[in-house]
Amino acid sequence: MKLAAKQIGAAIVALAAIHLGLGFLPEPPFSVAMNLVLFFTNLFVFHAAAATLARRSARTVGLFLVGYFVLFLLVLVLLGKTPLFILLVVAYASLFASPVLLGFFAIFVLSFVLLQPYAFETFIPLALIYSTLWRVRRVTSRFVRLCLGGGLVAFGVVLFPIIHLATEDSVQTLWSTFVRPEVREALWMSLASSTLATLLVGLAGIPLAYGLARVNFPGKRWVESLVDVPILVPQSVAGVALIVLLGPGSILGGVLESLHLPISGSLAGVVIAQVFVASPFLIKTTMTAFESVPVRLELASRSLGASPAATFWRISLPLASRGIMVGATLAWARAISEFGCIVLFASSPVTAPVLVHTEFLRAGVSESRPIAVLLLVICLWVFVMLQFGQTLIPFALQRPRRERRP
Amino acid sequence: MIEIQHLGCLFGDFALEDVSLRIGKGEYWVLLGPSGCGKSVLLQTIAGFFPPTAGRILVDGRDVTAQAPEQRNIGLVFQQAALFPHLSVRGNIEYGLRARRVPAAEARRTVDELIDRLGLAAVLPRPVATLSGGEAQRVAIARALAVRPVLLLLDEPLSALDHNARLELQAELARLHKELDLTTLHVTHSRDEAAALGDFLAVMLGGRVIQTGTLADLREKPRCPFVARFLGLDPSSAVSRPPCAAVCLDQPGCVPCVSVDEKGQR
Repeated sequence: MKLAAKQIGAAIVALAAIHLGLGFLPEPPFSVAMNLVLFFTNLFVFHAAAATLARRSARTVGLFLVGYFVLFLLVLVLLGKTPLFILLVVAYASLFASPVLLGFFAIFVLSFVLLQPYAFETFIPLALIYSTLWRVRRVTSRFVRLCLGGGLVAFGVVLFPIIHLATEDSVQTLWSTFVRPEVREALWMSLASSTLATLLVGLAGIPLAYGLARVNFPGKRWVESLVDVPILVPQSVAGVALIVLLGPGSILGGVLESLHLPISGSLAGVVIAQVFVASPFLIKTTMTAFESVPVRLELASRSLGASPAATFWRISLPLASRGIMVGATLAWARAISEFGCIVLFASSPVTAPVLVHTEFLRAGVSESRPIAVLLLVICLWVFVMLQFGQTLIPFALQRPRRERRP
Repeated sequence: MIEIQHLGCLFGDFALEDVSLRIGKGEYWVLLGPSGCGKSVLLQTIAGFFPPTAGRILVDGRDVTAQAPEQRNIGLVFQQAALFPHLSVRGNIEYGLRARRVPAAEARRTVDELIDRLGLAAVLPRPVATLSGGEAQRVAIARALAVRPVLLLLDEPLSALDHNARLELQAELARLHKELDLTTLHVTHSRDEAAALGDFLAVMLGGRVIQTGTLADLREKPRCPFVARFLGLDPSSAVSRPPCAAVCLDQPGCVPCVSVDEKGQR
């Protein structure tokens, strides 16, 4: 629809009438000056809308008006922030022509106006989700986008406490916490023990996973279920179980004690507890990785003269290496996050999760929070690095070597 | 010379029964039969992946029945090339040589010669995942030939290819067989391939070898209606007449091909 001069004039007169009416109310909501500014703002909005909406359908025009009234109700009526309303409305009218910018604008309003205390931690994830959906809009159906977007937002709500926590402390607080020796020691202890635990799980778990992936035997399903038992067992139960077997006063613990190999209360105790809880993650993932290597390739390798062991090293292991890395990352993450079992069975040397707990009991949230944030940041950083590292494995350990030109 | 004597093999509810073949050095044998007749099982048993329940496999008079696949030196090419996706084309071809710890210089010479012979120079720099079916199959054949196998087993090597690639590779196989003096056992269900490639044919059905001989022999005297039909001949030209089970048993050296009419029709 193309606006005629007569229609434009009528609209301006209508706008002027509304603002005049507002000014002559018994208790005017705005001062005269503000009313004037609002009038000119609305004139600009009308001008921008007339320019961008001239060729659009009535539905788009309706949408524009709905957006305007949402802003009006939200900012002006509900929050009563007139200058903010002017700013937002001007931005809204200018951005309306571009759907992608309009989406970011809506998210911005949502985060910085409605959810102001959580502005950063809501704006960044929502903007990322929106840009992702926007990028895939041509290759997916609306239903798939709805599933993906809804799922991501719901998942974001689940992760929100963590995202929020990570933005809580200033860098100065974190640094002053980090230089405390007991904090640094606990962080090192956590990193070292969980890395050691992951290596141990890999050493025993990779052969087991390969065997389970390549052999069928009656009762195999039971063995596979047994591998999952540590996921099922509550952490405190696992802790008690380890104390009963290896703790002070137990037979095995006593024997080890007399050999000067105390388990409970040493690094070995921490590692044992972590191995226990982390093992299913590596074994299950590795097993799937080995199952996805076609048996045909192993047969081809053996028919070419490679022994079963050589076939494992040259074919199966390289082809499964990416899956194994995924499993190792999960196992590492599980190991470093372990608390319940360790606090019962091996509360010294202190690991970071245990330290967060004791600081909380000793001095409350404000003291334990920086340690928690530090642990979180370090864990997330290593986790992201490991995840990223997987994509660097070119789906095998051995890169195809460059051919020499003849 | 490869001798397969009264080989039997149980694989689930499928059984090979009393399979005997004599493959002379330099001969090209085609094992012909409908899907599910046990061709592939026979091939994998010869390669050493299934232990036979009866019979022996002799290579130049040496009994290899109890040997592991890697000790037999029998080359195997699969229907889908089964290249190692994490290795380069050259890495695939020299895999067997590396596994056998052949000195690098000698290995390179062998591989270069095969690359030359199979015209693979153009595909060398490409990742194996991007090769076409025909190219991948050539690489797989080169890989199997690099270790100079005493017997080359081809498990439907042309079935997954498009028509042109199939004809090209078929000619290539015939040429290689002649040039390199290979001993080949080629499994297929296509009688065109069998006619184009095979010096000798073995027709299989239901886990048994029904008839062996040259194509001319088989055309002239198909042992039973199944063989005749499978070779595209008039079933009534068969030496024996249905009901086969009864008649075949009377023939000297024949195996009873029960239920020919059900299975032979496929």
